[in-house]
Amino acid sequence: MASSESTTTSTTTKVLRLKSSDNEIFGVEEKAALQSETIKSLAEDGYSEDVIPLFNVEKKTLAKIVEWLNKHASGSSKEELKRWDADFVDVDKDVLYDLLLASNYLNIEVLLHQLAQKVADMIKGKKPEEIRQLFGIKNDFTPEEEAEIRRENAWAFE
Amino acid sequence: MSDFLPEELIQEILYKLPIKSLVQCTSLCKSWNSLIKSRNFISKHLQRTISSTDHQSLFLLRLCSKQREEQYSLRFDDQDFNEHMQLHFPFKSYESYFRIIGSCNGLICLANIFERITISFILWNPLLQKYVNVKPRILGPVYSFIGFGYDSRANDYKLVRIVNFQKSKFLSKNAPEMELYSLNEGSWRSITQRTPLRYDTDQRFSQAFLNGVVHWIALRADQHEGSSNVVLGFDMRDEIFLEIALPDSLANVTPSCLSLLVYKESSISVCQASFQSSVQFHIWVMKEYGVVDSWTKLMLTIGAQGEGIPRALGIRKDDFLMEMKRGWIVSGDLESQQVRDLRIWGEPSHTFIGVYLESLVLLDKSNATSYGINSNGLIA
Repeated sequence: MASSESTTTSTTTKVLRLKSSDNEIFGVEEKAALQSETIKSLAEDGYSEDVIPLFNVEKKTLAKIVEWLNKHASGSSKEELKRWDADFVDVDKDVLYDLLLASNYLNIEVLLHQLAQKVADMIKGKKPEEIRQLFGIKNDFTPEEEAEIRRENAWAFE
Repeated sequence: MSDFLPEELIQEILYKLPIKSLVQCTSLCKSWNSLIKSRNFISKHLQRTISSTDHQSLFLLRLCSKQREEQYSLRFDDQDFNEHMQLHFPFKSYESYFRIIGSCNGLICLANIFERITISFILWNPLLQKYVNVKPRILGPVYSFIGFGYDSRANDYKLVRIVNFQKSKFLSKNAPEMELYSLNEGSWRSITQRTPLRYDTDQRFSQAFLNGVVHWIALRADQHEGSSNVVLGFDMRDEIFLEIALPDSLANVTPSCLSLLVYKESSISVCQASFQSSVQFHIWVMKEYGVVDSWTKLMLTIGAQGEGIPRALGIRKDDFLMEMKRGWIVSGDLESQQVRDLRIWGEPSHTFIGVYLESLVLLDKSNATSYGINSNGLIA
């Protein structure tokens, strides 16, 4: 009797252990963790009893990702989640990029879209030079070439 | 590309930008320029826009004035059909107004027709202020009908034109000539019909493009069965004609009493108006595209207006849009049967309403001409 009860308890709250690239281990409930397709397939490959190594995610980023996974598995209302997500992505550029890279690696589509939308919103209304800085782009056009592109689509640069 | 993010993430971000921001981003560096202007990116951006759940449904509205002016605007899909933005219209036609062949993925196809001579077609992306001028291959006064649509397999926009040298092809000994223009190829070519073409249609009839097929109302003649109305389709991918049967009650009415409309972006609708003590629209919608048994009749009755029979313009959600005889646009609710005046007026029989999607189509075309906001009277 006692053993069957304990089995029931352990299956409903199964915890996966995720290890960051800098060797920090995070315990995450399976239901939350499986929102990541990458974790899901690693778990299916037999890592679930052991530690799941995430070589591409540092602990400071993984901590944020785990926070997101838990929130999105918590059964919060749509409105509540919307508010929470808006705060979650309201971080500086470097943190945002780390999160983007991690959500891409972990294949968490909903989060990836939220982050991409946030970066897109940052581009809107910015001057070309500001956008170049935002992405670390080197302008490899000659001034003549750049002027020609602007002339060709003058309406977009007014 | 970027010192911070790989190209696949840059693409994810760019898909979420509006058209104007994307065009601005073409000036940042060479790799962004060639990415955004690539045919692949343009079509993926389009697919994202279509599948995005929060994308704003828009309609194109063309109104004409008595002074031969044409006014194009984008409208929201809201109750009052409110204006989203005006579009600068730079062209000038030979005849009074351009004929609008269709609107597909943000590209509008206009025809410049003088009497029975088609002078040119214009493929126009008004948001990008770009167009491609297409001269017809078969010139001279002819009876022709034209279809415009998108081939999703080749990621190409096509015009199909069927030309008769006699008013009715049934009077003509010669088979009609058929030609097809591909925007990617930038040229016309002949198409050979695989099944004998036994259809007659009128170039004034409007087309309906959906599911990769352009549709018209046509009269089919058969030596044994006599003639009857059908929906004639042309599949833009496989470049073949197809036929969809109409409900029996529409098979033998005068074809000019029928209008073909797009229904909920995924199927067709054919409506027939009749006038007794009141105007009655019999609106047949094909609930499931291609399934003849799914034709379902909806009715809209409009109290006697003393104005003759209105002209069907389009269906959106459960609204039926029509043009009253004097040019006012009204909307009829198919559920409640209530008719509302939208307080929009255009020169009668020249108003056009079609679906619209903001897109980058033509940005990759080196043969597309750009025009400035001050351009007027471009004779295409």
